Amino acid sequence: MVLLLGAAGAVGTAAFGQERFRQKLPAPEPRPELKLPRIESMTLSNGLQVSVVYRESTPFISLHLIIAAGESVAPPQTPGLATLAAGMFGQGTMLRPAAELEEMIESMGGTFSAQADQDVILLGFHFLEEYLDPALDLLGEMVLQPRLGEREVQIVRSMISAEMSTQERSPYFVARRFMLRLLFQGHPYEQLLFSREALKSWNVRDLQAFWDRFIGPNNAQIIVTGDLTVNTVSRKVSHVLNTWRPSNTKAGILPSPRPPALDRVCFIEIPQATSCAIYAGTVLPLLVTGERFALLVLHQLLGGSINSRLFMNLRNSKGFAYEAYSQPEFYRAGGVFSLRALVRPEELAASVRELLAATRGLIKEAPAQREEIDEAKSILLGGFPRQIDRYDDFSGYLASLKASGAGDELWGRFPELILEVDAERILQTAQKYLTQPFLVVIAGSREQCWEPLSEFETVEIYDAKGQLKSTNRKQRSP
Amino acid sequence: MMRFGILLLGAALGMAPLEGQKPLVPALSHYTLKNGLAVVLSENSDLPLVSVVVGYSAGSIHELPGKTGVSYLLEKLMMSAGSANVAPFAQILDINRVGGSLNANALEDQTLYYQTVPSNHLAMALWLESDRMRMLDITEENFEKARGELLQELQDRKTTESYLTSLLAFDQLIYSDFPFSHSLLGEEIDVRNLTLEDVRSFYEARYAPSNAVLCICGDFNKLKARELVARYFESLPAGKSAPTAFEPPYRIKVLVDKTMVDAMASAPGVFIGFRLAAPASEYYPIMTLLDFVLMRGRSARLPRRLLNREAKIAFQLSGGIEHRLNRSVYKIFIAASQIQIPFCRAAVFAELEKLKTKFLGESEIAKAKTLFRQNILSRTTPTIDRAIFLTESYWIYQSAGRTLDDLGKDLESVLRVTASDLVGIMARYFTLDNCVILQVRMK
Repeated sequence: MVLLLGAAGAVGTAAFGQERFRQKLPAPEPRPELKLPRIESMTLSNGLQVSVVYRESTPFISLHLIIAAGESVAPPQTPGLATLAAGMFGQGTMLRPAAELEEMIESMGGTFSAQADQDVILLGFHFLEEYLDPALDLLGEMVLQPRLGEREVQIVRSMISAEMSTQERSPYFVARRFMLRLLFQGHPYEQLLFSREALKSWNVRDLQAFWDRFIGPNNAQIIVTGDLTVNTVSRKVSHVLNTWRPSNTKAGILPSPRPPALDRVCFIEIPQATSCAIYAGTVLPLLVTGERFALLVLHQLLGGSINSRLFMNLRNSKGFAYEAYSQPEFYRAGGVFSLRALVRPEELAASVRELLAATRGLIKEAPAQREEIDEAKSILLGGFPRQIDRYDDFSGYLASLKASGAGDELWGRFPELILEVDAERILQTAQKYLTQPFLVVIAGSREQCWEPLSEFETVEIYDAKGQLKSTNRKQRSP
Repeated sequence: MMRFGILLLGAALGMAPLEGQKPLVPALSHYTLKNGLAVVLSENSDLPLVSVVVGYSAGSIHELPGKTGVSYLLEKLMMSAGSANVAPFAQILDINRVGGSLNANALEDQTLYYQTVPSNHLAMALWLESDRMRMLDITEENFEKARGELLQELQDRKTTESYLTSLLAFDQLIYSDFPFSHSLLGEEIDVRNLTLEDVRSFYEARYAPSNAVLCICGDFNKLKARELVARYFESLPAGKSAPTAFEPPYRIKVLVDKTMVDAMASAPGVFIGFRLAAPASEYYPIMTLLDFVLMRGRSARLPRRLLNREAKIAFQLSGGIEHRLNRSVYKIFIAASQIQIPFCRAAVFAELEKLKTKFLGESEIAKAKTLFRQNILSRTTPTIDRAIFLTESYWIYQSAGRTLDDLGKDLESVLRVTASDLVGIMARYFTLDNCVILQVRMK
């Protein structure tokens, strides 16, 4: 017997669990509005751009300093110089050693990080709001009086080498890195993918030259999030950084990378790997706003979650893979659209075929359906606030937008721009970019992958260091 | 499995937050349904998100000898099995579909199930949690599947995770009584011998409103939330009152110093531990601050001594306060070369001795307090972290017969700890007759 119970219910009555209202998913309330605070910006007299995002209730201040001095502008003969420069920010200053710097940061309830990518050096500094003045003083000291010595270079070299050594045990990391290296071959972005061998070329003289050339206020922007106004922040930042001399060079505009000429399959060996990873990618030019958001929705329905086509197909339906996803990445001069999967070795070839077929199927055989598009948008819109819930994620998201060259107009318009995407725009985007050739990289142990690789028409075989050893072609039966 | 909480209970000193600083714990309210379900609400409308956490007083400390692993196995079932009105795995798909996220965390003294969804989907989250609270569909098939996964995990972790075996051996020494000392993962033989009835009995006993707390944090209307909680949870039967009495904690009384070989150790290591005051004790706020002096941050005493850039004598250092219901211990783990292990041991005891005999300087105490504040604020600002923090806190207070009303005041009392308090706590608990050491050799 089904009992109808009202909202108050009745404790201990029979047939709990069978109340009619429990029998189906409750309908949601109307979608809530996402209100993001505005960005207010000023430019100081030395060229430094200052942006402030006001957040009343947070007890923290997040500060990001973005310097347009990424690996793409490092000299080709010393790749990794931007990474070295980023690492130097935490190695002490001319006034105090690294240990003292760490202690001062911790005394502010703070954390500090510095990293470089292909486009920028990004410093992140988060601390309790009552320490704004000493934090800015310390930042000023790190920027204006860095300790660029031989010993510090050696420390950063050791740290990066150890980090790379750990990362290189992951098939996913190796596959992605190698895919990017081949995709960006001949383009300045290739310099981000430096090997551990390259660390040996790091030296103080080149570091100082890079610093003088690129690390300056005319090449930088600072973003501060907290219970602050732009006038207050600008005044305080100016006080600390007004003597920061402009750099000799301002980073220019790079050409977009070119897509691969044809589909390629490459294998890179990871001795003793226990799993087999696939990364397949193609390059993107600099996208206009509409295309960028169409690609985000396309990515979500294709491979953005466990509900998406790739996961449902390769894992749930066919059982080839433990997981399968897609991923767009946007840089200043373009980007990459990639597919990735962790697969059972015996299903390598089938997995690659399915990944590419599912992706290109969006154009003809199985274009995006209304229901899928709506679900993809729902996931993107619902998930976006989660991405910025933590105080450092909030400012980090804004920093990454700015670092990729996206304008302030994208901040706060995320929901609106997602909702504007329709089936036609997705189809146009797919036709334009997913028909391009893909570069496929498979990473795993030779023991697991060798036999399955024979199913491919042509496979380039690389050793663990990324050196081409041979090109295998499929044996045809007579 | 190491859980280093800074949860504390101490004397509620009845003092306001220090001037000019935001309160450590945001406003919250709580009440209890007639069936015993505790409900905690904490609103924050910064972003249109809401997190829902259900915490059950169900962990390895509630397992019987010969039935270890049942709590962890049940966590797997809760995430995969269906319930009266929800198909298997539907919860994961439903939450994902709206842009939400979900997960679970099995601990020694509680198991948490949590999700964050857009705020207009609060009803869905509550519906899903209420359905599996009393109506989980435990069948022979899904039980065997979960058992298989647990056995596989046991094998994988024992063959890949460095120091797991020695950590479990250390727990046997430092906790010593069965409920607290055995592994959350269970013993393989016990897991193999578990029956469907064992799992159902544990579920019936521990997964009940009277043994659970529901915490909602984020963007919601309190009145509406109360209505939804009543709708979905009030008609669930209370469940039998699950026994929760444990022996009170006791000191070790004599130094325990042992050595073992761990086949998965990547370097020689040493565990050093001390039994501490129970979380309900007046000494706990002092212990909490001591943890920040000793271990938290690169400039804390032990990291500075053992991991410093000039003369790094250890490869790895970790530790802090760990609590399992009414037991707390202080654990320190160091990995180093064989030749450095004795120096590391000596360095730890030298630092502890300094803290016993010399008052800390004001600046070091101030730094520890700032780090403590930063830690608590980091854990209570994001929606999901706040909900988890409040849920975990609830059980500690509940076991001491207290409520979350005292949480804010107790946290603030850490900021009033003095240098002489710290010396006193060192002399009381960090003594050789209250110490357990387990040295780990590589195979």
